[in-house]
Amino acid sequence: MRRRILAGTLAVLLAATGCASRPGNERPAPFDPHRSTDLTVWNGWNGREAAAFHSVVADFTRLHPNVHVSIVDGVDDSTIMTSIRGGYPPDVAAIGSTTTMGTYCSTGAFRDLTGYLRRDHVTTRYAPVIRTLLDFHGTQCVMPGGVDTFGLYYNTDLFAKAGVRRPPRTWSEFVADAKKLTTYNKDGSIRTLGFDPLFSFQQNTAIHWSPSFGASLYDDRGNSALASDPGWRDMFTAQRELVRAIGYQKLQRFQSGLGAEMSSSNAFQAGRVAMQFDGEWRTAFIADQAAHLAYDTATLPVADDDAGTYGAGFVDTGVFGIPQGAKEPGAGWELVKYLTQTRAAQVKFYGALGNVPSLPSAATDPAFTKRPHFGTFVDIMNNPDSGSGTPTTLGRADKDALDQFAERWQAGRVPDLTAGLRGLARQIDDLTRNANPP
Amino acid sequence: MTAVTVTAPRRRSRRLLAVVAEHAVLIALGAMFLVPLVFVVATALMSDQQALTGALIPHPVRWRNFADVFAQAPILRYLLNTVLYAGLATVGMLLSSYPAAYAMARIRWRGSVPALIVVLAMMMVPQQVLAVPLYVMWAKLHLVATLVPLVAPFFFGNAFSVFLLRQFLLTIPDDYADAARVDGCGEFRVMVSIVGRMAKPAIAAACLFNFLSCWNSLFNPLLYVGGNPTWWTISIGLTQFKSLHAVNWNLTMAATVVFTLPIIVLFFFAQRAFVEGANLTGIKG
Amino acid sequence: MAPYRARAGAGSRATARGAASRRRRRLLALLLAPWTIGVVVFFGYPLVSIIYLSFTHYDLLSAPRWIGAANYAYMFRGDQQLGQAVRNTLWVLCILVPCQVLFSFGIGLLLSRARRGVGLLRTVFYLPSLTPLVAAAMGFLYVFNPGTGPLNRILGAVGVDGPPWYTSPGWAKPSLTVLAVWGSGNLIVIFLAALLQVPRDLYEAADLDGAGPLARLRHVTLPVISPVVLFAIVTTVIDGLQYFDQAYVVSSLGNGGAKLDDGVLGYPEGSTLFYPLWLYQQGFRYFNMGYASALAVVMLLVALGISSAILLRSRSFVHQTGGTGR
Repeated sequence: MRRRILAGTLAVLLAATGCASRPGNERPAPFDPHRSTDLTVWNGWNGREAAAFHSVVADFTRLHPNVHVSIVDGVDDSTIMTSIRGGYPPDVAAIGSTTTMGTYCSTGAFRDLTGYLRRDHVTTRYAPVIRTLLDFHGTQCVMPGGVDTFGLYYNTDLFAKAGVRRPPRTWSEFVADAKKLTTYNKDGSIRTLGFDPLFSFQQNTAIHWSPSFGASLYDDRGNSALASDPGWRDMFTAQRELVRAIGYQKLQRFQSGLGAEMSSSNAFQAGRVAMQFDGEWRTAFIADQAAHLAYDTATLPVADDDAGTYGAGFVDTGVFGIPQGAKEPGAGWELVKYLTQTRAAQVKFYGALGNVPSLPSAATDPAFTKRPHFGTFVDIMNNPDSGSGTPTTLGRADKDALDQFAERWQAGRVPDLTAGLRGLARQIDDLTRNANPP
Repeated sequence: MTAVTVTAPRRRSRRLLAVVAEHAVLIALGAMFLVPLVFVVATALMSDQQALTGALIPHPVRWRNFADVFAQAPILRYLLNTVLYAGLATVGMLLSSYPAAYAMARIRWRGSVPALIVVLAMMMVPQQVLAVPLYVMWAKLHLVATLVPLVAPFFFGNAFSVFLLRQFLLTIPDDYADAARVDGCGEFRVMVSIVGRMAKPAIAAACLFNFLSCWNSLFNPLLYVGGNPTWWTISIGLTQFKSLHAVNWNLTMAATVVFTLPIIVLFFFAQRAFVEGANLTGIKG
Repeated sequence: MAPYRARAGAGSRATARGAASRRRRRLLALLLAPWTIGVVVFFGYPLVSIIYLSFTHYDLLSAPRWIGAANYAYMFRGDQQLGQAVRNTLWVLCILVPCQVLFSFGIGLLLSRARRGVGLLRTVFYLPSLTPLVAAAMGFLYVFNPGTGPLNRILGAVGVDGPPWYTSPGWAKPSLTVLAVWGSGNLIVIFLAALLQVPRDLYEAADLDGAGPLARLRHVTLPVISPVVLFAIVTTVIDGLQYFDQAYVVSSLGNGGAKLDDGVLGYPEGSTLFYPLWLYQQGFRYFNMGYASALAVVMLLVALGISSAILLRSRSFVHQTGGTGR
C-alpha cells in the first residue's frame, strides 16, 4: 500500500515535469487595434543600434496608439531560449542570426507563421539565399529583418604603400597579398598584419568562409557533408596556407594584443591589419568610430579553380519571432509585419544600423546602393551562389563542433584532414541522431 | 620554549636562520598574492589606451573610470539585487538551519546520525547534478527570472550551514542549558536565548559564509535570472559588463574593484568571525 | 494503600514522561520541519527526477519522451566531446586539487611556525579568496594577457619569454590552477587553525627524541590534524568536480572577443571544457535536458563514489564528526 502511494506520488511529480504541448498548425491570432495592448519586445542591440530600434518601434506605436511597447535591449539568444523554456517569454523576440533558428522552429519555441502569412497575403519575393534560410521543412517560424553579409575590408593606404593595386580575387593572390602587406618589428614580431586568418578571430569561422569554396554543411538527405563535400577540404587547406604564410605562434601573439572587435580599437579601424573579413555593419562602425580611415570593400577571394563564383559570400539574417507562450501574439505579429514588410521602416532602421534590408524593395533604395563601400554587401545578398548556414534541429551544436574542429586544425592538431573531417561528419550525424531519437 | 633555551647556541642560531628563511618565503609569497590585486587597482585608474600598453603605473590617474562604470551600467541595481539575494538567503538559512542543527546536536533521538549522513550527502552532491529538475520545477511554477528560485531553497535549510552549526553546538556544555531548564525555561527559549547566545561566533560565521557564497555565485544566478536584467547580480553584471560595454580593460577593472570592495570592507569589519568561521569548518571535521 | 499509591505514582510519572516525550517529539518535528521539506523538495525530488529524465528525450517544451538507455549509449559511444570534458575534469582532480591542498598546507605550516606578523600575513593570504570568483577571473585575464598584460611585460623585462597563458590550450589549465591556488585562502586558514591546535608538548617530546622536521610532520602533526586534512580534501575534491565559475568566465571572455553567450565554452580548443560546463552546455544551451540528466547521474555516482571512498577509509570519520572535536 505504502509503496503504491509512493509510486503514485512519483508519477504525478514526474508528469508535472512535462505538460507543454507542441503548437502544430495553429490559427493566427487576431489583432484588435482598438484594444489597449501591452507588448514586450526583446532584442539583442545595444547603444546606438538600440536607440535606432526604439525609434522605429515608436513609429509603429504612432500608427497604433493603443499598443504600448516595452523594449528590453541587449538580450542574447540563449536568454530568449531560456525564457521560453522558463515560461516567461516576450511577445516578440529579435535575434541577430539564424544560427539557432532550427531549434526554435523544430521545438515550436517560435510559433509557425505560415498561418499569418496566408491570412495577411504576405508574399514577398526575398533573395534566393534568404528564401532557403526561412524555409524549415515547409514551415516558417521567423520573419527576416536586417541581412548580414560578409566580405573583405581592405585598407587602401596600406595597399598603396605595399604596392597592391586591387583586392585579391583568388586564394593564391590572397596569400601573396597577405604576405606582402605584413610588416615586422625588429624583434621579429608583427607590426602590421596583412590578414589574420585564425578561426575564432572576430568573424573568421569555417562556416562564414564556406560559400567561397562552395561548401555546404549537409547533403540532400540531411547527413553531414563535411566529409563528402570537397569544398571543406579545400577551405581548410587554403586557411592552413594563409596561417603558414605568417606562422601560427606569431599570429596568436599578435592577436592577443589587439583591441576588442566591437570597440573603437578594432584592429582594422586602428590600421593594425590591412585586410579583415567582416560583416557589412563594419561600414557603420567605421563611419562612427574611425571616419578618416581610407578603405574599401570586396568579397572574400574564392578557391583558385572556382574563380567563376567570385562575388558570392556568406549571408545570414537577423530575425523576428513570436515565442510560444507570448501573451499578445496578434499584436506581436502586427509589429513584426510593420518592421519587416514596410519599406520606410526597413530603410530607416537598417539604414541606421548599416545592415542590408531583407525586403527587396528596400534593398534597392539609394540609401543602400549609393552608400559608400556598401554596394558589395547588397550584391552578396542577391548573388545566387551565396550561401548560408543550414538551420537544423541541432541549433548551434553542429556549428560549435565545426568551430572546435577548426581551432584544432589551425593549431596543427589534426594530422590527417580527410580522417578528421570524416570524424567530424560522424560526430555531427551522431548529434543529429541523438537530438531526434526514434 | 624550555626546549629551545636548553639547546646549544649553535643549534639556536641555525634555528634562527630557519625562522628568517621561513619568514622570507612567506613575505615573498604574500607579495605575489597581492600583486594581481595591485595590478587590477592600478589598471582601474588608467586610460583605455594605457591599459593596452601593459603599463604598471597609471599616468595620469583617471578617477573618472569609476564614474564611467556607474554611468555605463546599472551598478547600483546589481549591488542592490545582490544584497537582496544574499541577505534574504542568509536570513532564510539562519531561520531554517539553526533549528535543524540544534535538533541534530542537542536533542537525543534515533534519527540524528542518519540525519547527519543526509546532511553530508547533500554537501557532497555537486549543484549541477540537481540543476535540471529544479529548473524545470521553477519553470512550471513560473518563477524563473525572479529571485525566488535563488532565495527560497535557503528557507529550507542549507546543508553546509547545518553542518557547521551542528559541529559547534556539540561543543557547548550542557550546564547552562540545564540550569535554565531547571529555572523553568522551555526548550525553545533555551535554544534561542541560552544556547543561541553561546553559539554566536558559529552563527556569525555561518551567516558570513552564506552571504559570501551568494555574493560570489555565478552558476545559479546565471541559470535563473540571467534572462532578466532586472534581477542581475554583480557576478552576471560583471561578465556582461565586459561584453556589453565595448570592452575597455580599464573600465572592466574599475567595475571589478567596485564589486570586490564591499566584501573587503566587510572582511575588515568582521575579520574575527571570518577567521573563526574558517577554523570551525575545518577543526571539527 | 501503599501499592495503589505506588502504582498511581508510577502511572502519573509514566504519563508525565509520555507528555514530555510527546512535547519533545513535537518540538523536534517543528525544528526539523523546514529542513525536512528542503531535503525532500530540493534534494530528494531532483535526485529521483534526474534518474527518470536521463531515460527520456526532453527539450523542456514538449513532454519528456521515454527513449530507454539511448542517452547513456550516446554518452559512452557517440559523444566525442565528453572524452575531452572528462579528461579535463580528471586534470582538475589530479593536478589542480593536489596543488591547491599542498600549497595551502605548506603556507599553513609556515604560518604556524612564524613568530611575527602572522595576523597580517594570514590576511594577505586570505584576501584573494574573498574577491568574487568572476572578478578574480577577470583580473587574471587582464594580468595574464600575453599581449598587453603586465605579467608578461615584467617577465620580458627580466628576459623570460612569457607563455601565452589563458589563450593557449596547453597553458589554459595551468593558468587556471594558478588562479585556484591564489584563491585558496580558506584552506590555508583551515590548515593553519588545525596546525595551531597541535599540542606544543608533543613537538617538544619529539624534539627530545631527536626527530627531524619530516619525521615530526609525519608522526606528530599529520596524525593529530588528519580529520581536518581529510575533510578539507573531500570538500576540495567535490569543489574540483563542480569546477565551473572560473572556467566559464575564462573560456567565454578569454577569447578577447566581445560575446559572452555566443562563444563556445571551453576556449581555447576545448581545453577548459570541464564536465560541469559540458553538462551546462547540453542542458541550458542546447536544451538536451534528458542527456544533461544522464550526465548528472554519472556525475552524482562519481561524487558519491569519491567521497565515500575517502571517508570510509577512515572508518571513524562519522564518530569524529559526532565527537566534541576539541
